[in-house]
Amino acid sequence: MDPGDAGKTRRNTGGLQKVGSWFRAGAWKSAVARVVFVGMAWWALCDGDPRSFIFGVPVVATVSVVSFLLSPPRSYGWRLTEVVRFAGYFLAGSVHGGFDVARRALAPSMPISPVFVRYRMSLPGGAPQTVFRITLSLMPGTLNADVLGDELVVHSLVDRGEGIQHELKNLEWRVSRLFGLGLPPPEPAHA
Amino acid sequence: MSPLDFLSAAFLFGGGAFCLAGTVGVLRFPDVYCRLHALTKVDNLGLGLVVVGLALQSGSWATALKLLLVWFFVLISSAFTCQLIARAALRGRGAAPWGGRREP
Amino acid sequence: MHELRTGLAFFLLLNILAGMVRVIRGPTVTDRFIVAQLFGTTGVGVLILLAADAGRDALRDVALVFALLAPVTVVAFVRFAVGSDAAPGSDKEPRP
Repeated sequence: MDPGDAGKTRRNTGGLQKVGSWFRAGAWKSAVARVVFVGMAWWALCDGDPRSFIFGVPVVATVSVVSFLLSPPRSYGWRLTEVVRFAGYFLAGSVHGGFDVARRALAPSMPISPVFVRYRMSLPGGAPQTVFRITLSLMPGTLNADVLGDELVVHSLVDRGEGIQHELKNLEWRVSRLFGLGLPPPEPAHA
Repeated sequence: MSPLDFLSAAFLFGGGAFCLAGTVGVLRFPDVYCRLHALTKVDNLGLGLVVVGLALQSGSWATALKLLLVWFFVLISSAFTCQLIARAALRGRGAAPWGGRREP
Repeated sequence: MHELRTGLAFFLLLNILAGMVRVIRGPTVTDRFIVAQLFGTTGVGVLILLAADAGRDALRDVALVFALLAPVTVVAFVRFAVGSDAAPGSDKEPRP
């Protein structure tokens, strides 16, 4: 990971480092996020019944600990503001994608020209690539079909030539910002 | 009817329309890969609109959150679904892609 | 509101019925399986619409279980139906 970013996260929570060297500073944020997510899921599953928390508190604690054991927090720093911004982009993109495909499906002429393109990812493996591939599949017109190492096979509903590559670069840059990785921003589209 | 009911009804109608478009897409698109586009994008958006419409009239935060949780799981699972199906179709003895073009 | 929800649920059921056309026409197993996934998503929609009526809250949990089980069917399908160990010719035969 980016050494500059690691220093920044460590400085924020300097006092916690005594807990142990394996427990990196970023792990606290991950722990809080997991407990909040599991707790909210439990609350929703029990329809907000306050009595359910007699069982809920041990369950949430156990699930969080098990999730930590099975998938330890990775060293990517992330910020809540970036997550919210990416979620907004993702929502807008998937609504746009849904509209686009629905329009093509319903139009009598059905204007599609499907094509497979290859795209070399510059994101590191693991969570960033997974997030990239998931969001890619819900964006307008593109669908992740296969992975060969660092190379993706992307199916696009409409053959837009260079436009597809540029769109993928832009999405990749946004994912890299979500994880605090320093990918260079894409140059503006030459339309 | 309160304004909230109107908004909720609008979301429900939109959801129904997108579900219809998703079905039409699966029926009309020429090959497996294009049908996956209709399955993952259009149908999820339709379900999402139905979820938002129902969450608006649910009258309880916990129920609204549970509905959103249902949608979230469907969203994640369909993102993996389309990858797995497309890969199986490409690598296995799946369907040959359609080579045609239809310009608008 | 109750009528609207019930009507919409019925409309979604009609969508499922229309999807049957693709199941019959195929031509590959994958095409048919895509419709099965479509049924899954639409079925979740029907369930949460019906769950909004008083006293039917349990249906919402059924929808949740449907949503969680969908990926399992996909993995099973990919492993056993179109994987490399699939029976030769099982996937390509177009239906008459």
